[in-house]
Amino acid sequence: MGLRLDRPLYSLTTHDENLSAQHIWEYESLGGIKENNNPVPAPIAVLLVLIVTTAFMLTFPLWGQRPTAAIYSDYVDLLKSPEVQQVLDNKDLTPYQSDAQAMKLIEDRLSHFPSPYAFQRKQHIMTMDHLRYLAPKITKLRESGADMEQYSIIGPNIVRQNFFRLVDGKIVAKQPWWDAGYTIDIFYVIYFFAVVFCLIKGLPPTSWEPDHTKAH
Amino acid sequence: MGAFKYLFGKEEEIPQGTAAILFGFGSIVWFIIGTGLGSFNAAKLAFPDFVTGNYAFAFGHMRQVHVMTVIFGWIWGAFCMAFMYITPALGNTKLWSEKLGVWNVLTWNVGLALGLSTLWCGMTSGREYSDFIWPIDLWIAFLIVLPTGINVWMTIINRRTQGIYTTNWFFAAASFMTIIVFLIGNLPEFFHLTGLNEAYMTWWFAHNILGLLITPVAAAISYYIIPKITGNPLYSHRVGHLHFWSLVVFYSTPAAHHLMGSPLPEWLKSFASVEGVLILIPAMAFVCNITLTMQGRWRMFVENIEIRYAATSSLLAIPLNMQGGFQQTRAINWYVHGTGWIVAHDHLALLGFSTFAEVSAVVYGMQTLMKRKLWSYSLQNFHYWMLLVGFGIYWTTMTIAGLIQGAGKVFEVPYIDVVIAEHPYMIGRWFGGTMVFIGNIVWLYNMYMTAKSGAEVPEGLLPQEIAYDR
Repeated sequence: MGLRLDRPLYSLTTHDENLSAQHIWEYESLGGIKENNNPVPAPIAVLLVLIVTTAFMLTFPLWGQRPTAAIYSDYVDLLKSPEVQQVLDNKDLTPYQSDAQAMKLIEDRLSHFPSPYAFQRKQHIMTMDHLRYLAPKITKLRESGADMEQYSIIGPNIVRQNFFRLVDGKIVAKQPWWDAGYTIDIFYVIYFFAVVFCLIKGLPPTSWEPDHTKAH
Repeated sequence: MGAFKYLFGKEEEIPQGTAAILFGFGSIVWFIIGTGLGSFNAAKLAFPDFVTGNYAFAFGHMRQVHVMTVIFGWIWGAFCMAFMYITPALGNTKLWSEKLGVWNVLTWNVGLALGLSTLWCGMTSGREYSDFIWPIDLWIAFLIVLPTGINVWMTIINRRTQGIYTTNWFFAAASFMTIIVFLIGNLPEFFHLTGLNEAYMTWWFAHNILGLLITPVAAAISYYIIPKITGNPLYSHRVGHLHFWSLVVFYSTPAAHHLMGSPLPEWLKSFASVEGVLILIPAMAFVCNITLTMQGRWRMFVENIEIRYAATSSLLAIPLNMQGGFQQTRAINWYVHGTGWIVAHDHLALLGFSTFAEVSAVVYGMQTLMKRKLWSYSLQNFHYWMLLVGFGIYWTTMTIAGLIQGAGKVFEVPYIDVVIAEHPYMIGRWFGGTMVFIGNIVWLYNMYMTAKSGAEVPEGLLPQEIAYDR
């Protein structure tokens, strides 16, 4: 197959090969079916871009990915602090009000310190009831010296993940919080469009339309 | 019964189209059995006291039999009818081997009867959509799909054209990919894989039976029926390329999006979720190509029954893929997973998009091969409306029931309260499904009468050209 690269948006095929393809296209009847050589319509091209963008936007930043125990470790420290305990013990407030105020206080304190988990905390909002339940488990886990990033919060349970690469029991690579699947998708989409572009640009240019009266 | 003589006859003695006609009639019979089982199962959900006390008729025992009958009886049979009729027609040639085709009809019916019987007797792999035990899986792969594939590939290789039309790309690829899907997707049974490996392979199989067999072949049928009957050229050969390759690339990968709540690696789920949305690319290319091919011929949607079936199929691809693309994302899946919403979506795929395309192929192909026009246009119209309205009721009620179940799940409503709340929708489900079942009986009668006493289509004319002649 001949290849020309001087006008890639026009055609990637040589003039002679285009003529040959056009001849077959016009003089051959495929069971009485005819085919046109229209380009991808502009609105459809726009929709293509929209679909690809949506696919990535909708799955990034991975809405619903399970939170790790690490992102709530600081919550537990602050829960035990005198200021937060004072709010929780305030008898002038209803249990609902004291929980809400205490959680607001914790979040306010956390916002003053940079944290690699800041973004994930916004995705996985913690409630006081949930925190109260998880706190002893997180404390126990931390005291055992475990890597908190290796444990997921699944409802009331803290469960060890098995997604890290281990060599001789040691972690040599961690799954990034935004994960590798997303990276694979980016390359996958790029090579798909590259191959399809080459494929359809190997056809006669869209400025040519077949004359169907020759074979039909 | 006369068809048995062809099993051991000479190739040249077998009339062209024999295998396609047998597949066509067989598929309608299996469709009636499949939808009858569906109606029976739905009645058990709508009326809990209906047929109780017999283990063989328990819902959990019969649900799989319904699913496997419609997929490997109705849909596969109708696909084979289309393969054996359309593939040679597009290559200006005859089927490579009618004899192989007739044997294929036998292996299909015997294999399916064996598979469904064992399933009904309780012999199951326990894996959804691949419920058959492994010997039946091997039977399907090597004695049903492979012979079909050989006939399709050899017919294409021996075509009398230089080009290969879009429909035949899909036919050839789908029959190849189905064998691969069967052999790889059933590895957990062949080698007793368990745990997450089994779960993943189960859904890889289930996803790809729909994505690499049913979706491409149903679309390929419309690629044939719409230009053939309207007389319009296919809008764009290059959009066909975009459709074909995006389907192969993006449909084959998102199996993990069926298991978003499982402990599969998050990267695999993320990868699958993006690919799941990108399924909209082939869907959009297909709908665009078909609707633009229909330009200037939309009146045929009213006038021509085959076009009405095929165009309805193409239009149903829009809500189907909008649902499919987005319901698998984490943002939506947590709500609808494991509810009737998914059941409604499955039926939108198999009973909506896919079935309408298959009916168009069977109705058109049978008339052309038997050289007889439909015995009763009115009965065929009746079937169309029973199918459309029945499916519409089913889909609507199950979608609502699914949303109720989702709310019940998320807000931890007691299970029995959810059951009570969705009871009216279970009755709607049964009613809609039963309409489809009744319509199918009428369709079989119409096709039987067409074969027996339909008016002959004169040489040089196509069935649709004399549809209204009396």
